[in-house]
Amino acid sequence: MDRFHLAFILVVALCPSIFGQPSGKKYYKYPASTSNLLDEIKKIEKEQGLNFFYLGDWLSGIPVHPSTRVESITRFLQNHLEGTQMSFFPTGENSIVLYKNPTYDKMIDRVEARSVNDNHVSTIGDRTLFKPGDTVTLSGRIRNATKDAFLQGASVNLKDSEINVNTDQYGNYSMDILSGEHTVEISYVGLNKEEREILILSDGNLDVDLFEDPIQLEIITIEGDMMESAIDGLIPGKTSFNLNLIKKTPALLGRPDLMNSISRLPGVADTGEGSSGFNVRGGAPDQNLVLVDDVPVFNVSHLFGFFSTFSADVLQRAELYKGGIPANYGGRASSVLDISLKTGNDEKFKAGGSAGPIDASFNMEGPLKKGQTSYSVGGRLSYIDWLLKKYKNTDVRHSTAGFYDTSIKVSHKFSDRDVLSFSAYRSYDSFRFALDTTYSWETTLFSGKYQHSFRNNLHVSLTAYTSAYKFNTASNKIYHDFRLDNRIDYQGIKSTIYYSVARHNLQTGLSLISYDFSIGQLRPTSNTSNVTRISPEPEESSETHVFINDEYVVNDAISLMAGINFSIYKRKGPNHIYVYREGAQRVEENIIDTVFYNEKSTIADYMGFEPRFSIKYNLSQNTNIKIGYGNMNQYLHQLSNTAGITPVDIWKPSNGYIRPIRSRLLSLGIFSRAGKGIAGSFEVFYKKLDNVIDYKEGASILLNETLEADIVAGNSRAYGAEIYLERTTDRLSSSLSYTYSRSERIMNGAHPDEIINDGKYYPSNFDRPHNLNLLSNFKFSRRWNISANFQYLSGRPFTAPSSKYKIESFLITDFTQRNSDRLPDYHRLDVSITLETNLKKKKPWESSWIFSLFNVYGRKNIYSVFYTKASDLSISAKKVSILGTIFPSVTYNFKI
Amino acid sequence: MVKNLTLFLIPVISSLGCVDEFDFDSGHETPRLVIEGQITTAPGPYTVKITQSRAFSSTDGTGFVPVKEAIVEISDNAGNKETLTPSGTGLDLVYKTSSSGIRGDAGKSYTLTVTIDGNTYQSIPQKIEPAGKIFDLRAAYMTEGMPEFGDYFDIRIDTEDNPDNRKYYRWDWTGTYEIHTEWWRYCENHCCTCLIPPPDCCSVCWVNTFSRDITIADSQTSRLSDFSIAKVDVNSFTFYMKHHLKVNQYSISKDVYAFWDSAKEQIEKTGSIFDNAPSSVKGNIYHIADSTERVLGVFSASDIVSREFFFDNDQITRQLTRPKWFDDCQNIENSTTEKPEFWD
Repeated sequence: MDRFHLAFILVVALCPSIFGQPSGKKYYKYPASTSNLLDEIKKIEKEQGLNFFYLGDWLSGIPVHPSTRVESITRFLQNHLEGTQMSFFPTGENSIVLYKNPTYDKMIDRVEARSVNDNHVSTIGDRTLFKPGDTVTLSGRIRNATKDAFLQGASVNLKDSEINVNTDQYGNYSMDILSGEHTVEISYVGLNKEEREILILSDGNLDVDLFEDPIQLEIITIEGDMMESAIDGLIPGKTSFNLNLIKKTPALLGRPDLMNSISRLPGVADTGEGSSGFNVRGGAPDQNLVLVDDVPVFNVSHLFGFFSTFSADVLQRAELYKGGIPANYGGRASSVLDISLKTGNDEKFKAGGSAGPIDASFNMEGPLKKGQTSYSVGGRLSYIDWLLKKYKNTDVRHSTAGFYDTSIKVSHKFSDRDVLSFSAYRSYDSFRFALDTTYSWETTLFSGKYQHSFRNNLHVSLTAYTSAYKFNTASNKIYHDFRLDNRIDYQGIKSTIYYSVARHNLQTGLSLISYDFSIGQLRPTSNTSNVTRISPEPEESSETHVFINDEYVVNDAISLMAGINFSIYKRKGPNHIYVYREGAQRVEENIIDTVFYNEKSTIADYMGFEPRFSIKYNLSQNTNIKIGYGNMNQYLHQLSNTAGITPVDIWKPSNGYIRPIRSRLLSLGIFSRAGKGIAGSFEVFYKKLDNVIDYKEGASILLNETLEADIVAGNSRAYGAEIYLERTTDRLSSSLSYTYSRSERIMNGAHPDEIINDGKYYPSNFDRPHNLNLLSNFKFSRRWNISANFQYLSGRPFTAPSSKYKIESFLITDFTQRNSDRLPDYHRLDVSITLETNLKKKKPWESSWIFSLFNVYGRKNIYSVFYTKASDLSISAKKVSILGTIFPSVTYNFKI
Repeated sequence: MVKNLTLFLIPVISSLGCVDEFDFDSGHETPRLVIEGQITTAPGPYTVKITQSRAFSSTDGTGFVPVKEAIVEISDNAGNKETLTPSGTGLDLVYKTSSSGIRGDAGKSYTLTVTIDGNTYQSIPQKIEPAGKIFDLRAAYMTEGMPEFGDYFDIRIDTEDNPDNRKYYRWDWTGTYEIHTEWWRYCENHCCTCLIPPPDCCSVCWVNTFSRDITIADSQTSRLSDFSIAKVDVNSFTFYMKHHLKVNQYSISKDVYAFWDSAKEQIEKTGSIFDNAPSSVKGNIYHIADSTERVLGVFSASDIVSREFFFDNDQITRQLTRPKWFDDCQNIENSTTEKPEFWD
C-alpha cells in the first residue's frame, strides 16, 4: 500500500470527526519571495488548520512565485497543479488529498461508506465518469415546497469556494464545480435555509425544496437574510424584500406595509405622510418603475401615500433596485420596484386575512386541478370614515375616504416545462375633500404570461398585458360642478430568453409598450354649471426596448454584470401641435402656426442607448466591493405643482418640447459580514439627470393647452453616502440605516421666465439631507416579540412667504426664492408587539395579534404648510400634522 | 373564522390631526416696490398708486406707506403721453391724470413708466381689446336649504361667448339699496334711563355695496352665457325694498388676467393639500435696467362695458322685517342721503 492510500484510509478511519466540522472558506496568501508548493502547503496546514495528504517529493519541484494576491485554496491548487499529472480531491471540509492516478473506485467507496451513516450526503452523477479534478456541472431546481412554486433568485452557494449562483425565473440554477465532496447551501429570503453535503462524480442534478415554517425561532434573523442577499448579490443597490418580515415590523395603524419597508432602506425616503410614492436617491416619485407581474403601474399609494396598494399577503416577491439596474428594465430614471403576485398552491387550500382599525384583508389560494392548476385571490377593503370624523379640522371631518385593492392569479402547468398564468389586479381610491370635491384614482391591469423551458438552462417567457390608470376630480359646487377625467391606457408585450452556460447567465429580449393618454377631459355635470366642456386631443406614444444582459462569474473573486437596453420612443399623431417662433420665448403670443400630424405620422421620436454595468470584487469571503453604473431614459413625466405629489397629478408623454429625462448613476459600495451576526454596507452614489421638469412661477398644470409654455426643463444632480448596519442574534436583531444625500436642480433657460432662483442650483422637493432609520426587534419568547422603529428625516424644502402688499383692497403675499426654506425635521417612534399563534400542533388556524403604537411620543410632524385668511384678509401660515398624536391600534391576522 | 374577525378592537383616540400657527423667521426680506395703475376707455382721471411691501410677519397697523417723489407717466403707442400729478397726502397719496387728459382707446397700447431716484420701471405695453357686449344681466334667487339659513341672489351675465377667440375679462359691481330707519325708536342713554329724542338727522338713505371678490374669466375655459359673476346677500337691509346693481365688464390682457388669476388663487386658497404650491403673483412691471429686480403690482388697460338693473324682493320666499336701524342712516357705511340719479 503506498503512502497515499495509507494516508487516505487513516483519514477516513481515524479522523471521522474531521468531517462536517464547520469552517469558513480558506484563503491562501502568496509568499513574498519564490517558494515551492511543498513549503507552501505546509504553511497552509499550519496557518489554516487544513490537512493535506500527499508525497512530499511530488510537490517540492513546483515553484510558487511571489505575489500580493489572495486566493482560495482550491483556486491556488488548481493554478499550480495544472499540467502536473496531479490533481486534488477535497474530502470533508478540512482535508485535501493530492494524488497521481488514484484508484477512483476505492475513493468513492470510502466516501459512500461514510455517506450511509450520514444521510445528509448525496451522491450525484455517474461513477463511471468520475475523474477527480474534473470540472463538472451541478444543476437543479429550487422550489418553495410550502407554496409549491419554483423560486427565482434563490441563492445556491458552494460553501468551500466562492461559487455562488442565483436561480432564474424558473427556479433553475447551474454551476461549474470540481468533482468531489462539497457542501451546498441553498437560501431564499423568508424560507428556511438548507445545507446539503454532496459527492459529485459527474454532471448531475440536485433539486432542493425549501420550507416555510410558521413559527420560526429565527424569524427575527431574517432581516439578516435581506442583508445577506445585499452582500452576496452581484448588483449594488438591489434589495429583495422579505414579505414575512414586512408583516412583522411596526407600521401605521398596525398595517404592515411594503412601502414602509422600502422607505427604511438607506437612500430611500418617503415622499411624506399623505403624499404618494417614494424617493430613491434624490429622484422624483415618477422616476420609479413599479412593475406588477411585468406590467408597469403608475400609482402605488392608497390614501395619498399612507399605504401601498399591494398588500403583503398577495405578493410572492418584491425587489427594489436603486442602482446597478439590469438591462432588462427600462423606462424610468431612478429605480425599479419589481413585484410578483403570488402563484397559488396547487396541492392544498390555504387562506389568511387580517383586520385592523381601518381595513380588513382576505386572501386564499389552492388547486383548481391538483398539481396542475392553481389560483390565488386576495383583497383588501377600507372602512376609514369613522377615523376622519375624529379630526378637529372641519374640512377633514367632512371628508370621506375609501379604498380597496384586489388581485387574482391563475396558473396552469401543462407540463414541467410549460406554465401559463393569468393575473388581474385592481386598486381603487376615492377621497372626498370637505363637502364638494372628490378625487379618485384607480389602476386595473390584466396580464398573461407563458413560460417554456427548452432545457434546464434555456427558457423563454412571454408576457402580454393591458392596463389602465384613471384619475379623476369631481366637484359638486353649485354652478361650478364638473368632472375632470384623466386616463392612461396602455398595452404591452415583453419577451425574455434566459440562457445560462458555464459561468454566464444571459437574458435577452424585447419589450413593446404603447400608451394612450387622455388627460384633462373636463365636462360640466349639470345644466346650471358655468364650466365648459374641454376635450383635449388624446396623445399616443410607444416605447420599444431591446435588451441583453449577462451576469458572468469571472472567477472566485470577480463577478460582472453587463448589459445594454436600447430604446426607441415615438410620440404619434393624430394631434394638432403648436409651433412657436424660432428661438422665441415659449408663450402663447409666440405661436405662429398649428401643424396637424395624422395618425400615421410621428410628432417626435427619441432613442436611448443605455449601457448598464456592475462589478463585484470579493476582498474575502465576507467582504466585497461593488461598483454599478447605468444610464436610464424616461419618456413619461409626472407634472405637479401642488405641495405634495398626489395621485391626481397629470402625466405627460415626451414630445418635441418636453424631452426625455436622461439619467446617469454611478454607485460604489463595500459590503461586509463581520461575524457574530454583524453585517453592514457603505455606499456612495452620484446621479445626474438631464431634462427634468419644473413649473414656472404660478404655473397652472391642469387644463393647460400650452403646457410647454408653463414648464421649464433643466438638470438635476443628486449625491450621497449610505450606511447600513445590522446585528442579529437569536433574540435581538437591530438595524441602522443612515443616508446623507442632496438632490438639487438647476433651471437656467434662455428666457427670464425659464430661470428659477437666478439660474443657480436649488434644492428639489425631495432634498432631505439626513435620513436615519433604526429598527430593533426583540423576541422575548416563542410567541411574543416586540419591535421598535425610529425614523428621522430632514424637513422638506418649501417656499416661504416673505412679504405682503396691497393691490386695490386685496392683500397679496410675496414668496421667497423657490425651496429656500425648510420645514422642521421629521421624526417618529413606533412600537409594536406581536403575539404569534399558539404552539399547539393541532389548531384550526394560525393567528396572530399585532398591537402597535404609532408616533409614540406624539410628535406633530408637519406634513404641509398652507395659508388661510387672517382677520385683516392677509394670509396666515398654518402647519398641518396629519397624525400628530400617539395612535394605538390592534390588528388580527389569521391563516388556515 | 368570521367570529374571530369581530373581535378586533377599536382603538381609543382622543384627537387627531392638528392645524397650528406656523411661525418662521422671514422678517429679513427687504421691501419691494409695489405699483398699481389702470387706464380705461371710461373718462378719467386715472390713478396710479405706488407703495412698498412689508415683511410677511409684520403685524403693526401702520399700513402701506406710499412712495413720494415718483415721476409717473402713461403713454400710448400713438405718441400721446401724460405725466401724472401727486394728489392727496399721507397714506392716501396717489398719482392722477387730469380729467381732460389721456383716455383709453380700444386698439391702442398703453405703457406705464415710473421713475424713482433715477431708476425707471415700466409696464409691458397693454393693448386695449374691445370689452364686447353684455346681452343680459339678471338675478336668480337661491337658497341653500332653508331660506332663513342662507339665501342670496346669484347674478348671471350673458356676454360675448366665443371660445375660438380667447378673451380675458374682469368684472366688478356696485349694489345700491334704499333704507328707511325706525327713527322713532332712537334712544340715548342718560344715566340709567333711555331718553327718546329724534336722531340728529336723516331717516332715508341709499347705501352702496361693492364687489369683494376677484371675478375673472376667459372665454375659452368658461361658458360666458348665464355666467355667475356675483352673489348679493339677502337680509332685511339689502332687500327690504328693491335693489339696484351695476356691473362693469373690463377687457384685460393675458398678463393682467394671469396676475388676478394667481392673486385669486392665493387669496381664495382653501387650505388643502391639493392647493398649488404657493407662488408669488407675477406682475407686468419691470425695472428697465435690471430685469432680475422684482417689482410687484400690475398696470392694466381696459375697455369697459356696463349694464345695470333693478331687482325686487318678490322672489324671496321668507318674510323680511323692517331693518332695525334707529340712528342717522348716514352712519351706515357707504351711505348717502342724496338720491342716486338712476333711482326712480
